[in-house]
Amino acid sequence: MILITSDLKLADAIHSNYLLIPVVTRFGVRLGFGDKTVKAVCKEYGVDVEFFTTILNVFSHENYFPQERLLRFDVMQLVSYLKKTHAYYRSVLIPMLEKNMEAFVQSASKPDKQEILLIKNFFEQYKNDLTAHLKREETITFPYITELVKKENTEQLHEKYSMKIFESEHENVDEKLYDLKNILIKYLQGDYDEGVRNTLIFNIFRLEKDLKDHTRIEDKILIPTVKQMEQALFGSNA
Amino acid sequence: MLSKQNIAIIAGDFLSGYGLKALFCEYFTPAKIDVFAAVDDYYDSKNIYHLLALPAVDYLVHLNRLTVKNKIITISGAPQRGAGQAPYLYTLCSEQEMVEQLQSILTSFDSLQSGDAKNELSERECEVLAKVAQGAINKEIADSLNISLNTVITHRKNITAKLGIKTISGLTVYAILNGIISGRELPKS
Repeated sequence: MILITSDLKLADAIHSNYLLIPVVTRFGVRLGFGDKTVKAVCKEYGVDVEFFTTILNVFSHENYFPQERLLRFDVMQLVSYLKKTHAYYRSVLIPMLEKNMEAFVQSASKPDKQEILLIKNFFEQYKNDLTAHLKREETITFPYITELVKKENTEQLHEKYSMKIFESEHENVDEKLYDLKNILIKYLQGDYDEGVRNTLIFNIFRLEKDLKDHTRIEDKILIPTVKQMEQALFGSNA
Repeated sequence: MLSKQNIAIIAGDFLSGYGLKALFCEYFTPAKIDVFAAVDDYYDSKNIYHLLALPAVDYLVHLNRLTVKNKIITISGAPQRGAGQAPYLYTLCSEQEMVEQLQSILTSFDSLQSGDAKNELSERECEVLAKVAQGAINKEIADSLNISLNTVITHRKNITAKLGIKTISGLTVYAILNGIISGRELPKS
């Protein structure tokens, strides 16, 4: 996959990695941009081009992580991106998996339905874990960061919450997803529609990949950036 | 073949190291792979590796210091110029030939290991799994099966490694799918 620069045509970037389409969408950019370069499209949509290319590259290349540059970005820009990612999980990926799962259950022949319902139930548990995790970040972590940026009531705020707490709670929610994949690939037998099962597994892989990049951005950029802010505001008490 | 193995590659020039790494990753999916510029960097890393690939010259010089004993691949640009007993990769060849060389070396390593590790659960592991799926905690499992807590923990680690399932609810699904417990034995939640 090519390294994305501001002079590259955005269409070429997407040809090199179609999984970037939802990432581009998260920035509010709509497809249909013709032969415009990344720079031109960003200008049109009022998006910070450096932030945009960096996020796209982090998403495309597992080992590409320009930490110093990422740490320089405005933290609210980062929070806004993370919020949009959450919205994407909630309004696109999760409902899609729900639909896939329901179709999968429907496709099973009667004697095997029970087993697939069992897997559906497991998926529901995972879904609840994930949405609770997203919600906690939206109702506690992101508002905390916003207040820190505004420098309002920070002392009181910090008594109740800090990035240290966020870090300790930021356990992997992806274990259940990993299990679900293995159950579907290795252990589920029986009579059901294979095409439907394959779509389901493809979409689980997609969600997993997207979540992994999301977590990487939170662990490597959000946490260190906010910790720097805490250090500046509260000194050694941070 | 390599799914549970960590590989270290020592290569003086970045491109050879990166190239070999890419080949391993594309064709053999190892658990972890690190590339070092020099033998000393490899020692400094203090990680545990199962397989080591290094230039034939370095192999001869450092033979007695290498901690990986029976899974060493030497790299050589000339044919039939391996070093010592270790199998070697001849690098002036096509991608197809390279993959075949690697595959035959890895197969020879596999046959070195006594007793193929099968991923089937032992009877004891099935018993532990049944208890886990029924919602028992480690202490309860230890008491009811008359084994120590540490043994339970070891069994649980092995179960997860063999099945590729980490969470309790995932293990429960597996146990029901495979008739290790029936759905009726589930704890009421």
